[in-house]
Amino acid sequence: MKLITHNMLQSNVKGVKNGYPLGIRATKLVIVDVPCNLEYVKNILSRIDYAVLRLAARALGYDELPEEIPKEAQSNEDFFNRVHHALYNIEVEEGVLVCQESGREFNIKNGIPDMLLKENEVK
Amino acid sequence: MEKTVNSKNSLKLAKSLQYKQQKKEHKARQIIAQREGKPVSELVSETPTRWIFLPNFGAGSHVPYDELTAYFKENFPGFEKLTMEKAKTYVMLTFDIPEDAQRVFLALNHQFSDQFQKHVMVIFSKNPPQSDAESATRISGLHLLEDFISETEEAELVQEIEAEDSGWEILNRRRVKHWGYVFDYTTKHIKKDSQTSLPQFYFPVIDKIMRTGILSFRPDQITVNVYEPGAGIPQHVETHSAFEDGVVSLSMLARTVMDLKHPDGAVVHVVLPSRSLLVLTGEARYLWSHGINGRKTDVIDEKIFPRDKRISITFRKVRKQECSCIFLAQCDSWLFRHTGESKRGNTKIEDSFVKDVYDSIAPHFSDTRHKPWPRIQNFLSQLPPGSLVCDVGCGNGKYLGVSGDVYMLGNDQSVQLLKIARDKGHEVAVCNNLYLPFCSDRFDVVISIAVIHHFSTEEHRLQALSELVRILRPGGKLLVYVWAMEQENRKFGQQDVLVPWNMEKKYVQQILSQVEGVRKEKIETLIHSTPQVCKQNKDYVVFQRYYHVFRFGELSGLLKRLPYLEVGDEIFDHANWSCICTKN
Repeated sequence: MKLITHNMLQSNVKGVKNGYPLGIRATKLVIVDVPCNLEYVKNILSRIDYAVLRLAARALGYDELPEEIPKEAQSNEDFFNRVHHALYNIEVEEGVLVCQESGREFNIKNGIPDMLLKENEVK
Repeated sequence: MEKTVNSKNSLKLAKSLQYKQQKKEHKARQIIAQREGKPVSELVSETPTRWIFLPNFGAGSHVPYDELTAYFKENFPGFEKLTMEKAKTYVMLTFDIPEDAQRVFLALNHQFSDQFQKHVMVIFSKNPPQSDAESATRISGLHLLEDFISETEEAELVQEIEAEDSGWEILNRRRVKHWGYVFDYTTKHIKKDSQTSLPQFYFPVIDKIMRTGILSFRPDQITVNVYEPGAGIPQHVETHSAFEDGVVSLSMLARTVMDLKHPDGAVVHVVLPSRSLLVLTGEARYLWSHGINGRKTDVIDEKIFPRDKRISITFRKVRKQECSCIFLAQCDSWLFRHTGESKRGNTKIEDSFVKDVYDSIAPHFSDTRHKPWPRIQNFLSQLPPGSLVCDVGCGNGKYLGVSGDVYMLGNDQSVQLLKIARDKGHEVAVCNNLYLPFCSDRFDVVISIAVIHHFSTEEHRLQALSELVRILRPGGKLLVYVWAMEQENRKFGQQDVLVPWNMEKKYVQQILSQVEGVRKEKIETLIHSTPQVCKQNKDYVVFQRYYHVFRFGELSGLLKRLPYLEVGDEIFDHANWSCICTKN
């Protein structure tokens, strides 16, 4: 599971008001090398939650993203390379996602997060 | 010079085409020989005969029997009949004289048929199709007892019936009268409060039926059909919930031919002689449908018999409890038990006939699902780079890699299918369409291909669609495909159906080796409890998938009930209804 996917995921457990973002813990990480398409990353940056991406990357040991999106971001190639790395190169193979509000943990196995709820957790 | 090269090339082309055709035909002959259990030389004739093998048009090829029959009837004089049998990949055609069959050979052999979208091969057969009587015995649960009553008994019964001058219902070229209970042809059920006692004149024949030992109860409902010459009765399965196992019918006066059809398309013609008793039990009663084609004459053992007036008496036992047979796809009781069920999470149907089935058939299913449909592929490839796309119910992920420049997140309930998508390098998550684990207003595009029809209540279908809209950003686009009821190659009698999936047995071990724990037990139980069949000498496990097939307008109707959504036109594509919507 890449962090771009983590950026979309939220907990839907019954009773939870704010299930976003999910905490993340990894027991197995894989770093891949996806070619960077700057145009693509620039477009995606406006669609994702940057603060959540930065926190998740830090939780997985990648601390190279600045706290704020730089003002001259559009021309800052180095910044986009880092965003690209955080979004696409870091993969959680084994680990858990944690609902901050309820503490419910969702397993990640073989890179696939299991977000299915039990019958009594459905709203 | 140039000319020579060209003609050389075209000669080469013609030769290679001829070689391909020969290869195809050789394979087809081998298949016929294998299935018939005889060498090719005993089966195939190199000179025209009255009988033709037509490979690749067999039961299960999705060319309906009636359509194929109509085609030959219209286009080829001298066409007598088409024989389609269960578990055969070819059909046989019978013509009046070899010259009639030769015309088919000249017109169609090695041509591509636009109507059926198939390559046609015409192979002459040395022998006529196996006799129908022989085929009938292969239907499990069918009993045909000839000369069941004497001519005197027949005459007495006819006289009693003809003396009844009231209470007849006039249908299309036949009239019916019920005793015991009234059967309502609109609801396909008996009228519960209509019970009357049976007339005495039926007792001797009922006693005689009971003495055969085939029935385990005494019939309490009788329907008499009086057919005018040439009249028929539409194909039907006796309503499961209305009658017990064991449907008996006594034929009187003229003989007729009844067609029994298996859900996979096989047809068996059963000659019903005068004074014979037909008893349908088990598979023959619950799974096969039966009916009589309306026509003036029948050809039986090479002789022509005109259809005269015929009377049949049907004896049935009204069911007091719901049916609990194993033929779920034909069983109204089963669907009734489950479709109405209201539940927050998955219903029993959605669990047992969708989720568990996809988990069980995942590798086989995936091997058959490679090609993206062009209209969907086109839609995805036109998206701007960096778009966020969610494919809800992505299965093996055949759309996830279609466009390189967008982020696609696939999800499904079936972990086994997702593993296949993941192995191809796609981003996936296990979740349920009824409660998607994604932020609201996020995705630029959401696609739902062949998913919503797997929800068994309207409430769930609507909820699943509303979740798709929720995760879509304002201005984002939703593309939905669902299976249509109005398909050319498949006919549905109702909207809630189970559709068989035949999985080759070699996949069983593959799937069992991939799962463990509770999941493995579940899949093992499912595999052991499903019927197994043998086709083309291969063993299959037959799983049933639940579908709610959509009528035209139903999908857009549901979508229009959702707020903030602009619903586009409903379009028919690949046997599906589809809609593109925009979130406001």
